[in-house]
Amino acid sequence: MLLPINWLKELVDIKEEVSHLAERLIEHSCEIDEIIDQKKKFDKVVVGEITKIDKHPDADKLVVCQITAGTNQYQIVTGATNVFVGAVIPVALDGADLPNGVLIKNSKLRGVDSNGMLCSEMELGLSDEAKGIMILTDKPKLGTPIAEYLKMNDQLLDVSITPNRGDLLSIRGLAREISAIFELPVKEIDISYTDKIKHDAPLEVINEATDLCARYMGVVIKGIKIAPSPEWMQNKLSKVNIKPINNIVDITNYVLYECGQPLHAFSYEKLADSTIVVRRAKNGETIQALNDQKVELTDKDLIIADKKVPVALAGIIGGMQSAIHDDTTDIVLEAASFNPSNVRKSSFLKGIRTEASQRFEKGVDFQNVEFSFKRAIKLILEICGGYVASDICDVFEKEPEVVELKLRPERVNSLLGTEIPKSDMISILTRLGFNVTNDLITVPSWRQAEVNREADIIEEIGRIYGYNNIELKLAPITNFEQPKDLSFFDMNKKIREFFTLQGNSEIVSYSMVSPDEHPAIMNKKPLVLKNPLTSYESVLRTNLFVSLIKNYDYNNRHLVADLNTFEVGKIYYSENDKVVEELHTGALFSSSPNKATTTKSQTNFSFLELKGICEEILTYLGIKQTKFFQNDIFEFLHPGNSSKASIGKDTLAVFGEVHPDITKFYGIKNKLFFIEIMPENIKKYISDKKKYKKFSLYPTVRRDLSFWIDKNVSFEQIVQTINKAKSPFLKDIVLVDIYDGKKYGDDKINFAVQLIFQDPEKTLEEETVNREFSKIVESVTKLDLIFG
Amino acid sequence: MHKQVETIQNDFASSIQKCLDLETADKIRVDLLGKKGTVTELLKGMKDLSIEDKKIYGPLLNQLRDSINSQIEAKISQINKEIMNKQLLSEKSDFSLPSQKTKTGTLHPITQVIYEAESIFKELGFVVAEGPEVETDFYNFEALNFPHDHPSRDMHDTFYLDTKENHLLRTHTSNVQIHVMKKMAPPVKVIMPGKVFRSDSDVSHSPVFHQIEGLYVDKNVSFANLKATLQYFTQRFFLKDTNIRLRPSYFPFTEPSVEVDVQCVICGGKGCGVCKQTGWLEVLGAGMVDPNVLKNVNIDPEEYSGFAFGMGVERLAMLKYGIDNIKLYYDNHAYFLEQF
Repeated sequence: MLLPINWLKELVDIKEEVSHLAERLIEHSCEIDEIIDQKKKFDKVVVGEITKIDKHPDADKLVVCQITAGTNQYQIVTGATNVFVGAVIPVALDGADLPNGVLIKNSKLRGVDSNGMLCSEMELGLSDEAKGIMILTDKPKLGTPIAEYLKMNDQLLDVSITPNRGDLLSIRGLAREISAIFELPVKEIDISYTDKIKHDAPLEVINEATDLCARYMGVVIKGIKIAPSPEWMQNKLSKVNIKPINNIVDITNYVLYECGQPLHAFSYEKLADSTIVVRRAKNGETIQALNDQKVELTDKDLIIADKKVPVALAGIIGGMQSAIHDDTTDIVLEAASFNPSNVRKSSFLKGIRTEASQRFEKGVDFQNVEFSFKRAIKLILEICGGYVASDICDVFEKEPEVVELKLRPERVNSLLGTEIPKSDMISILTRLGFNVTNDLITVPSWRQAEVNREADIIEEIGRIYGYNNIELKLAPITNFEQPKDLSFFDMNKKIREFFTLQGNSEIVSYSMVSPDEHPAIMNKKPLVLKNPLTSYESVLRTNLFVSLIKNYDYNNRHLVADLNTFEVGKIYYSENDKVVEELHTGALFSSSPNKATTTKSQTNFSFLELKGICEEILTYLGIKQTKFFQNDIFEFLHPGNSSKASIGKDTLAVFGEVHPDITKFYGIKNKLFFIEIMPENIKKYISDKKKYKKFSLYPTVRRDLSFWIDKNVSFEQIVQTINKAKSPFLKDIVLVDIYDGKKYGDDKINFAVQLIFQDPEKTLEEETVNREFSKIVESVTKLDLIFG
Repeated sequence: MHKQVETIQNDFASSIQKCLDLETADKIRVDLLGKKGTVTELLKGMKDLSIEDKKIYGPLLNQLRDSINSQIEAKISQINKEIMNKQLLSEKSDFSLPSQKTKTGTLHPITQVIYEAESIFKELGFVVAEGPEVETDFYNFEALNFPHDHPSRDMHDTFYLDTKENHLLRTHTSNVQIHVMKKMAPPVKVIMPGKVFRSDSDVSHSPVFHQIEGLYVDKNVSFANLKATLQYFTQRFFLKDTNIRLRPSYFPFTEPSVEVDVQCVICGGKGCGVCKQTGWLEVLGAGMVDPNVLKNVNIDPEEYSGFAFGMGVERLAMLKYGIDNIKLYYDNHAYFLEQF
């Protein structure tokens, strides 16, 4: 909301500098977006007179003008054709920064000095088009700054008002607030008018929806003449960006801006049976609104109607049918209080937001309905002529109950942490228009919409006392019982630590993704946005792979090929109509961890290396008993080179090589590897209990075992068979080599393993080792294998 | 004999001085102390000498042998050292060559800011809590005192999900306040970081961003406590002498509500482009927990009071690291990530 300082001064005798006024408003009341100095855009533009016009020596279409602007003389070259000697015109001088963005500098035009520019209305931002230079026919004093001549020498505050301060949405409201801050009186606006002619026009108001319309005032004014509103009013409206239309519309807008109450005026002649009915619309009824939109109405919409048809969508917009035209002489003026939430709903559903609807949404002051109504009548009679032709209809069930609250100074001080004396509290409240008698606070009518609890009173006292005047008091540092889930945050910290040490960099992505990624990517039923910003951000991701591959793709297209990343973030899906949200970690590898990437473009990374990372992160988090299975979760991984790590039914991690179809889909040429970790499953198995186990320092003895075996036999089966020998001294089984030779055909593979023996109590004897080794060899012989 | 010893000594002294390599050193040793070496021969001849001569020449020859031996050893070790030096110098690296990196990844600046903020608030006894991003109207709005069809909802452009319960993506981390207070009885002192969503996107707005929410509910919690907590945070997070400024504002779930500005960390309050010449930067919103919110979670506002605050992580990171475009956080370009 724009607050012109000169308009404000009509109501409060404020002498402060505008910047200081703004500072105080920011401190106590509301945000100031900008201080607008109207003069600024007309700086260095003055009134001048053309004393001489010569042809330009080198250009047919230009003339050289001699200008006098008071004591100074200027030579200016112009291409305008409407100039003449004796013309009084606006002259922009060197350094002027015109409203249309043109910067004026002394220069030469075709070799002739030109020290400024003669301005058109368009160049001064006064109109959208102009035919030639603006001629000031009223011949103001030469040298006068044009801002002064145009009466554009005001300053304005662009005030940003929060939803709880609807009372500030008018000059009167802001004047009240400023008067409270600066302890100045507010001048009352004149609402007196003469009403001496006999009322000859019938008007009846029937309110059939008292729940949606708390008060409705209407009056007939006859004999008015529609014309442009007076200059002073047009000037004031223009300043606050309201376009003058005609005297009646301008007056309703003016009162709206001045007093904060929306008003509506419509044709009395068009009102069937001289009756206004405030009622819910019937389903199927329509109204042609003033913005030319045909609005379909329902029984949820409140309308103003005559006996037959809707006249206006209450509190939002008037109807075309009853609109005022240039030849209208008799009007009905309306001022009302409509239900905020109903206005908001209708306005939202119809997609029509107006100055009126925005104020009704915040709730209007019951008393101000009458005040503004009378103010408008006064202005109409004064400006448009005519007379009050009907009784004033004022329909309401009951006045709103006066809100009374108890002042508890100790409670105020305890909540604010202050020691404000009670007398200061009363002074603050009184300045704001509250009445305080015997610790009982009566809320002024204009604050009743938002101030109705003790907390609201404490806020009033706090903000006027000044939040910056409240002393700092640090609360005692107490340690409360930690929430049980705390280890979860520590775990995520550890996961992040692990991956950064592996060389992966963390990314943070949008949760919304496109439903049109590769079909294999969506592994669950995704949650769909009803109102996405774009179609490629319209569903929520069901895994972190999609975010990481998209990021890899982005970097790849920006010529970064080697990048290992990870993300800790939520994934979401729908399961049996239930929303599931889980925190996961995903990591994407394009090269071996921790390897230099400066010289060779691609370092080899293998599935087994990735398995190592998976095992290591689980061990790092304190999980030991993991088993590996075939990946049956992520279709976007290579079906052969992927696996999942589980305990029981819980999957802790899924990892593997990215399916070649996917890398191809994104135009990625190199192999990628991916792991997704499910911390919410992991946390069930984490135990931070650590127990020391005795270890042996006696020497170990190694024996090698090499054999050919069927490819379908897994390494795990071999290990199990070795373990079946139950050798007490077998400490470890190490895979030394796998050789996929053709010696025994395509389906045999060669394993070389090393068996490590150790006795915890003493040095092993050769004989014992030989015995244990034979036991093991005997055991594995049960497998179909060929030693060698 | 004396003369012989003297000659040997002199010859040895000159040859050992000239000796530059291990072969020569070994040859000298063999010539003098080898099986048929000159000194060895002399020592062998001892047995033919008289007892008197033995007494005289025995020690002399032994001394000669030992002296020669130790000098040769010294020479050999000197030569070895030179050889080693020469070899090491030949292996010298050009330290201006680019290093072979062992890459360590980086934490995203958003995470770093959250971790730093958490650790500062932990100093004041706050603990970390988290809540869902997919939320119901109740937790995101209703319980936080946003009435239906109230203009306060305009401040939040909300994404809605196509679900039976009309889920939405939380528009702020304040929903966690309700989850925490429903689970725990006061005192509650929590810090709640997380991802939030608004259906708004332009140069300075991202539809996804992060907030850090704080909540402290106990007996006798005051606005003065809130101020001190925020000052403590800003001074630890930014500069030791950073001041804060409070302005009245409006949030449905706090009353009184304030916006909190910090003295511009770029210009120190003198006025610059970042603070739009005001000397102040808006960094967070705060206030005393609205009694309606406490009632909604069955906490008696007469017995307990509390404060809450929320701040934008991207904004903090922007001020801390000078990141000038919110898009950078979510592009996750390698050259951006590696800087943190």
